[in-house]
This record gives sequence, structure tokens and C-alpha cells, in this order.
Amino acid sequence: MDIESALQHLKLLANEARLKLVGLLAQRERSVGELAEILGLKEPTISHHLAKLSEVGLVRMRPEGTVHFYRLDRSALQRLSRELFTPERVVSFAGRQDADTWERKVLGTYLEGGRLSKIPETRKKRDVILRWLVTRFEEGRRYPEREVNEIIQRHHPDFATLRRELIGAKLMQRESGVYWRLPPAAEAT
Amino acid sequence: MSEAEDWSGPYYELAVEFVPRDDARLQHALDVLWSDPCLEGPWSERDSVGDGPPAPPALAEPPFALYGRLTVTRASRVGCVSWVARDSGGRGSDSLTLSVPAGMLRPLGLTAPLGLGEPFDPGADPVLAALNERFLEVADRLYAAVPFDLALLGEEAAVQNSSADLTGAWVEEHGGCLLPPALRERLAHSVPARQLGSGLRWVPFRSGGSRMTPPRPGP
Repeated sequence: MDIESALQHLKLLANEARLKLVGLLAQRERSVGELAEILGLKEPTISHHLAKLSEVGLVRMRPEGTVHFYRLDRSALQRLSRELFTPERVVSFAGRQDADTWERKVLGTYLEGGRLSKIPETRKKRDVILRWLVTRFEEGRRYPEREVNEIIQRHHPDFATLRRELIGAKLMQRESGVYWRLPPAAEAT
Repeated sequence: MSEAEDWSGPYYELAVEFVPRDDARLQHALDVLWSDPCLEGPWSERDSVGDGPPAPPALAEPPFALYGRLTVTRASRVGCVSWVARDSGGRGSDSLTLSVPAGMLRPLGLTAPLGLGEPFDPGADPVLAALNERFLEVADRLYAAVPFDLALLGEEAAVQNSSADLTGAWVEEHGGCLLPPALRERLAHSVPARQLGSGLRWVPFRSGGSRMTPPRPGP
């Protein structure tokens, strides 16, 4: 989990009602109606909060007739906690602070609605774009060249140059016309 | 979907409210929403988006999520999810929300900061501005086919307010609302609003950000 993913998760949870819901569901299983009554909020508001917590796997639902009961998934909570707060993870948050800000600026300059306005000329900026581009490919999946071209073309017409650059930057690997994304540890920094 | 995806929130949303609760109208709204030219889907699981043909959106006991793709600009499509929530109290209400996770917007070049005190601001981020405009188009078409009572846009818009509780002062302070004529008349607010083709009025965000002040839970 990178720092932006961590921020996304924290921002999602940084809501008074959502945290109270987590607390109430940690006590025991409850229905939407009961939660609405305890928190003094409307049922649809509670349902929306629960839907978001459910998307990150923190709550589970059990239907009983027309009533839905929710409970906290403790193992998911522990997993999220591990992903966010191991000492190694916390240290990594500080590591690239300046770089992250600068990279966001570069992406903002060269990207418009997911399209690359042009390929940066300087190596450093091009690397930022390439590191962004490689995230369009799933780790662990093999892609035929045609599909690689197709994916790159969604962002810039010069797919041949960018495909070569991804290999050159050691962000992707190629063998017999098949491409795959290299794991982060092997990616060039 | 063939591209690597990040479905994690927070969410930028179009949240629409219908009063009173009505099964047939909600089903019609789901049908209209998911047949919008900017949307592809829905699929019942987010991992199956793009795999096989989409299934017609069937109304189920809420909460239920339907997943698909939204074309934000001509060149970019992002994963999106619709949620339904229903209120059984009083006259009841139905709420239909179309949400795009922030994780989907990052590859498009989302530059908005993700800090807790920094609301998503479509006025300062081109990606959010494009998404906001797309939501306005979708809402305009939805309202023309299935008139709703209120729509809110922005970060976590679904939990911000309801047509029954909305006041002119709130609209003037926050904006980010699509007001049907009847509600606009009731509120009698004086904030400038842009008229859309369906007759809806769009009140832009007022405070430099899309995160408004949601109702606070009780003690």
C-alpha cells in the first residue's frame, strides 16, 4: 500500500458516523434501523456508510427476512491495521514526500483526462510518466503485444515508443512477444 | 477490465433522492441510469466488470451495489458503482447514488490532495471538474426521464443532506446541489444557479470544496 492508498483508506474512515458504526458493530451485530436510532441518523445515511465500509471489507451483512444485520469483520480490521501501521510501512510514508509532490505536479502537467499531452523530453519527467503508465497493467498478468499497444494507445498514440521505454526503464519485461509488469522491487527507481 | 484498477474510496458522487419510496420509480431510475450513453454496465460484482454482457439492473433488497464504467472524457473511462438506499420511515424515500472511487481517478492525473482536511475541489482539479460536468449531464438526463426531488454532487455526497432537511441557508453556504423547480421555489435562495436542459438548476460549490457538513451522529 503506497501513501496515497493509505490516505484514501484513512480519509474513507475519517468520518465520525463511520467510526461510531465500526464501534457499535464491534460490540455486536445490529440492524440498519437500530444503528439509525442509536446514531440519530436516517436509515439511507446509515446504509450509505455501511456500503462504503462493506466495500473495504470491514463489515459483513446477514439478511434475515427483510431485515439486514451487520457485523464487524475483525480479521479485515486487523488486516487493514497491519497494512497501514506496521513500523516499516510508517517509515515508508516519509521516504518519498518531496518526490510524491513533484510527481503529482508532473502528472498534472502532462495528463489531461487520462491522455498524455506529450511524452516528456527530460528523463526524470519521462520516468514519472512511465511509472504512472505501468500502473495500467496488472502485476502478475501476461499481455500479448497487441494488448500492450491497445492499452498504451488509450493514453498516447505513440505506443511503440512508450512500449520500448517501459522495457528500457525496467518497468516491464518482454519475452517472445509476451509482456508483463515487473514487481515493484525490480522496478527502476 | 484489462487495466489495473483501484476501487478504493473516498468517493466522488452524484446522489439522487426520490420521495416517497416507490419500487416502480426506483426500478425505472435504475434502468434509465444504467442505459445512459456515458455508462456501461451494470455487473453485480466489481471483479466481473467488462466480463461478459452486463445484466439489466434488477431492484433487490438494499443495500446493493452495481458496478460498471463511466466515460469521463472522450478518452477516459473509469470504474463506477451505483448504490441504492431506502428509508422506510414516514413517507419514506429512495436514494440512488453513482460513485467513482478516488482510486479510479488517480491514473487520470487526479492532483487533488487526499488530506483529511482537504475536500475534493472540482474548481481546482481538472479531473474532478470533468467528472462533475459528466455527473451533471447524467443527472440532467435522469431527471428528464424520472424526476427526482434533490441531487447532490461531490465527495461523499450521499450522506450530506436530504430534500426534507435542506434549507436555503445550507444551499447558500455549500452549493453542490441540483434543484428541481419545486424545491428551488420552497427554498427561495438567492444563489446564482445554472439552468440545465431538463429544468434543473445547478448551484455550484460555494466554499472551495465539495465536502459539505454532513449531519452529525448522536452521542
